[in-house]
Amino acid sequence: MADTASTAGAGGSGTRSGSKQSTNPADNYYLARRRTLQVVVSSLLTEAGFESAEKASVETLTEMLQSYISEIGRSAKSYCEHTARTQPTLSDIVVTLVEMGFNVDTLPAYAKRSQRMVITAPPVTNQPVTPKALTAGQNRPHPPHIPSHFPEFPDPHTYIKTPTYREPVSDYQVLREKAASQRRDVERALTRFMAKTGETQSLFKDDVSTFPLIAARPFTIPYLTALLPSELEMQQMEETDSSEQDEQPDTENLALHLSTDESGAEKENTSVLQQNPSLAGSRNGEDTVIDNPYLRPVKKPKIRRKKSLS
Amino acid sequence: MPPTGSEPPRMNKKKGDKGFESPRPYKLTHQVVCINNINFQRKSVVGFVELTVFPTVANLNRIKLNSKQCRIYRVRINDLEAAFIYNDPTLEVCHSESKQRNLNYFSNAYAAAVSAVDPDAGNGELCIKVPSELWKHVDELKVLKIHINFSLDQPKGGLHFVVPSVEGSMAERGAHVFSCGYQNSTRFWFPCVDSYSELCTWKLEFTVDAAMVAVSNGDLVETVYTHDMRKKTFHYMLTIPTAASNISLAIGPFEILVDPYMHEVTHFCLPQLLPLLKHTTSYLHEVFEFYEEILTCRYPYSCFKTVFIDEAYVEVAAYASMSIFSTNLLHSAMIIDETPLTRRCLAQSLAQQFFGCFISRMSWSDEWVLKGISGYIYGLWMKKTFGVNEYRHWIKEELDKIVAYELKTGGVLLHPIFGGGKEKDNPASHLHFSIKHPHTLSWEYYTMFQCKAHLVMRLIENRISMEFMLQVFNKLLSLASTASSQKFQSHMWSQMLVSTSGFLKSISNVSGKDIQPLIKQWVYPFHGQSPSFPGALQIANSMVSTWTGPPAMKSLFTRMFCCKTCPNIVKTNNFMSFQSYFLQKTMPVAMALLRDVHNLCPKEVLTFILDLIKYNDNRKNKFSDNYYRAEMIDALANSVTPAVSVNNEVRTLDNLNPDVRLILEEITRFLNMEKLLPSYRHTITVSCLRAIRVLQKNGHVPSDPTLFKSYAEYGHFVDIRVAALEAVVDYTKVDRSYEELQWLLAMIQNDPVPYVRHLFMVDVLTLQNIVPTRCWESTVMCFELTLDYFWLKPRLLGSGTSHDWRLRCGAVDLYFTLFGLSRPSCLPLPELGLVLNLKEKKAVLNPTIIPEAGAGSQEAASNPSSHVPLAGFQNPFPSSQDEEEVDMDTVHDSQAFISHHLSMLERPSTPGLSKCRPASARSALLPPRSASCEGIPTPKPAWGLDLARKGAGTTRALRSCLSFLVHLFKSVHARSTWQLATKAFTFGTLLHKLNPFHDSGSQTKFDNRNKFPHKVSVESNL
Repeated sequence: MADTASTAGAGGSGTRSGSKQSTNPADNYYLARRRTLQVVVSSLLTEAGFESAEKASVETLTEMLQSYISEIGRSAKSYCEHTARTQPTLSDIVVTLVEMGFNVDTLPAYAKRSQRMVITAPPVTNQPVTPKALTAGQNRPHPPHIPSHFPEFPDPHTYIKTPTYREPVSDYQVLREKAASQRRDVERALTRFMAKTGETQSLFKDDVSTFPLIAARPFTIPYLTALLPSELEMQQMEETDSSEQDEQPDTENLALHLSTDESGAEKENTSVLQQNPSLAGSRNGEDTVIDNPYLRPVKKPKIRRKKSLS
Repeated sequence: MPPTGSEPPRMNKKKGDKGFESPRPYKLTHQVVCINNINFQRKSVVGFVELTVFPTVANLNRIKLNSKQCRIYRVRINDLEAAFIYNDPTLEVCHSESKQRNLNYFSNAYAAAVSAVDPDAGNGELCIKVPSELWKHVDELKVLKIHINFSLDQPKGGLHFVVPSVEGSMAERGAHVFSCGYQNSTRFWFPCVDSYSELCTWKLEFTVDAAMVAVSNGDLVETVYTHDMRKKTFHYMLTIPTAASNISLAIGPFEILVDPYMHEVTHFCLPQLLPLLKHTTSYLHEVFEFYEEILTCRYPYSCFKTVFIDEAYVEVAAYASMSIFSTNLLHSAMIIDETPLTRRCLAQSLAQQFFGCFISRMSWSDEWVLKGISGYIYGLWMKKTFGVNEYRHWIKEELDKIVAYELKTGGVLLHPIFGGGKEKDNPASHLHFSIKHPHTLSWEYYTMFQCKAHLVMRLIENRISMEFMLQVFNKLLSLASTASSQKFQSHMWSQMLVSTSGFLKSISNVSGKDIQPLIKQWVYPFHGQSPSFPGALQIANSMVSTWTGPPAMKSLFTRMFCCKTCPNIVKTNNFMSFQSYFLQKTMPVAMALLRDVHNLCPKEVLTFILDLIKYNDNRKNKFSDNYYRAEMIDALANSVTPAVSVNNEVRTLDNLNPDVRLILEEITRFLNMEKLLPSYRHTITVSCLRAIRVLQKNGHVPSDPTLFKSYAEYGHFVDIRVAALEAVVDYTKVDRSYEELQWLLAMIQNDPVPYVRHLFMVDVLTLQNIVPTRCWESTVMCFELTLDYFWLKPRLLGSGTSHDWRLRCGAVDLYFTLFGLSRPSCLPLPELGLVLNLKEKKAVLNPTIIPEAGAGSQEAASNPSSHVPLAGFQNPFPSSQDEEEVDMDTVHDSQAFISHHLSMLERPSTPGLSKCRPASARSALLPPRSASCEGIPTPKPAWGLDLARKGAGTTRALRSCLSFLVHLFKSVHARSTWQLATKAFTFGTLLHKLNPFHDSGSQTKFDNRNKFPHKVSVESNL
């Protein structure tokens, strides 16, 4: 059963990905399979006591059966690949069936039922013939150190190269040119799109499309957009930071940043930054020493406070 | 100011040798400020203050305090109810229906109103009657406790609420409030003695929402929950005697950062900005170390707090043990250009902690000492941090500014009270405002005042040496710190006040040198309008140079910044070396100013800049390139030359110059990309807006302010708003549009952000002489409507600005600029030329003025340049509209001129003529502003130039070098250009060695620059 399922699945996909020459045989093969399924459905119907059935209902049931078997195949394939194998095992099928809500225990009994009908296996001759690949010349024989059961070397034409006339894009100037125009095109397209879809302003009263300016829109908190670096810049900064350049005057500030982060995080009570192991030792000790009134906990109210000290 | 000091200099009559004599009949020793409710929704504050006061005279029956805006519910003295009167004459200085709609009258009335409530004259808005039960108590000079309950509803000044209109609780919305103001403005938010000379200790309590933090002066003693646990109270104690004017407050859902180097220093910022705060403040401890070292004195307070807030009133405001900064100073490690600017702000505020907050001043006339000293030590920090050349460049800039200002406006007086207060020999008679009080001072004047105070300190240093200078500062500080520790001897606290005489005496004690001549010349009124630093004017440091020849700078740039193999492609950005970064971003800007024989920007330069933009690649860069890209746009703008216009044809896309099309393409893309990926501080948007205005102005694109107006709206980042506004102002200037002027004035009147209103005001000030120009449509009508902004409610000269000294002084400046009203007291007339009766719609000529006016008018006529302000009034009606035209040249006889105007005024049939002619008539009558000021214009630099000049401090130094390069190329271009380029290149490599941020070693190398002639002349003057 498992075999059937997987081959059915494979057959289905085969039609789609098959090359042109094999289309007809594959179609035939596919039809033969389907015919077999129809026979199965019909026999099952007979077994269930039907004397005749409409073509449409047989087709529908066939369709259902085929889907069911395909699903078993697909699912079993996934299970087997999940465990890094290429061949499904029985347990894959069992798990699949269980997963599909099928009670596996009833299967042996069902298989041995008395009234079952036996159908002859479909003719194997219908197996599509994979057209032979064009062979050109003799493949190289294996050198002595390669065992003979290993696949053959590719055809000799695989080793033939045909130089193209376009120079490879390793030239600096071209690369820069390309990057620049690419960026420009993207920016242009993007801004034009934004301008087309939103409100615009224009420098020329009679023409609003040649130089469309995206309309100015006030912000509720203008300083945030103005001061905070954009995400793009942040990303860029991280990238450039990894290739650390040394002459930077405030390298010491980097260490400083970390240390301040801690006090900040502590204050905020939201862990902005996990403690840096290299600094934690020295800093942790100091953290308890830092006595800043703004870091002290807020006191609970007393019953009655003196209003003012004078 | 030693206790046993000898006689102070005669010229200062105010001070006896016992030191400070308080102008108030009592001594304040302690004040409690308790704000127990702050409502962000309603923008209201409820609280009380309690002042502990010792009478210094018997029969003290009235106590005058300062309070503005506050509603006072109840006053008790020693638990007895006390009657009080509240009167604030500065609200409405003069009535709107007053006949005297002129600046002279207003300025006098305003100065009188300000001094009527001046605590340094023993006055105040709030007058409290001491209950008769306490009279005996007072006669024994026993302590009085004055308890005042007050509330504040929607304050327009003093406290600024920022409440973003988004969803969520106030804390989630980032709502915050902070105190602000110009000079002593604490009275705007609680009753106090709002003087820099009344020191006392403080107890400050603020009850705020549990999610908020209240930051104030002194030590945070404890934070306690209220009983419902929904709020908490911050208790602060400030034991160092401090003036009320140095008390501040900031409340908001701040993120807290304890400085990792100095645990007693805490930084606060708005939500989400903590990473920026960490980077920005990581440098502060070095400034601390520097000041403590040079002053050989510990930082005087036991703690220090920095708070970064939105919609700041000024970028930096220093208060006792706390500074409030604009949140826009915060930046990440990727930003280069903002770093030196922000560090300068931090250093400036810290210098003021020592001199300004800890050491206060006796009176307004001693302000220059504080500003001078803090400016001076800040200058020393500048020198150490940015190097000698940057420092010198800064000094030179300051000099240029003050010279230009003094030439334009007249001398800046550092010690304004001198002269015994007689009106006659008022040394400030050339000004249209009073300089006797900080609250009547023009902001521009005050800026120059600070600038000059610092320069005079340098002169003193030059005379007595830096060592002595620092010794004097140390002496002042140690005296003050001894005095501050005298907890129960409040009379000692006056040692913490600096005075001009005390300072000068310290100098002569320490140095043994007589600096009186120097002081007489520079500090006390010196007269006339002679430029203070001869020769400084000759320093021409202009970048604009024109020459014909190949753009040699281009080859230099190519060698330095472009790829070896493909010279048209710039290398991918790497700004690790700040020196070459600044060069890289400045050179194209300068290059774009090149012009060929046809006065056009060479095509190859434009192509070159477009290529720079095209190939700009920042992916591998550690730093943001937003300033670089912005300058590339500036460069594009600089390359624009006036369009060749045929018959004034309308600008359309079809006749667009192909080069301009390319430029416009870039600007459009940049501006649109900003919407998707905004740059830091929107520098690119700012540059784009400027560039668009340049294109408009040069006639390539139809001139239209609509775009700029939309960017000037509230809700855009402040830099964008200001850039957009500048464009509108420029448009108004060029197109003389009354509509836009109206829009600008409405903006000044109504904008929710005081700082922006102020900046707008300053910008609009550049519209000098705009009203009286010929093309102005229906001049009289416009005048009338414009005047309404000043005189009708909410008037710019009245209630509209009563809550903000700076704004009101700005309005005075603006009025002066727009209507050309002349100097009040140099004018020989006591009153207006024309007296208007608005009700009867009549104008009467002031009979006293006729002879004088005639003289003035003749003088005007003899000077062609002074025709400009007159011309518009001469012809108030466009010829198409009206019947009688006045030929300017015939009106030499001013009487005829006046009567002509009068006859026009009285003609009822002419619409819009009935009212308010004073401005026009007056400016015709008065001698126009001095010829010298017309002859040497000091307007804002032209657009292109302006662009070239903006940028970080270091850039400026580099720019000077560049201008030298330009000069070099220009002067000898006949010779081999290549030879020159190599020369310049070696020079460029020299620049490499200059480190703008952190150096001492490089200073010597860079001193080579002194070989350049225009730099040397600066130094010789200092």
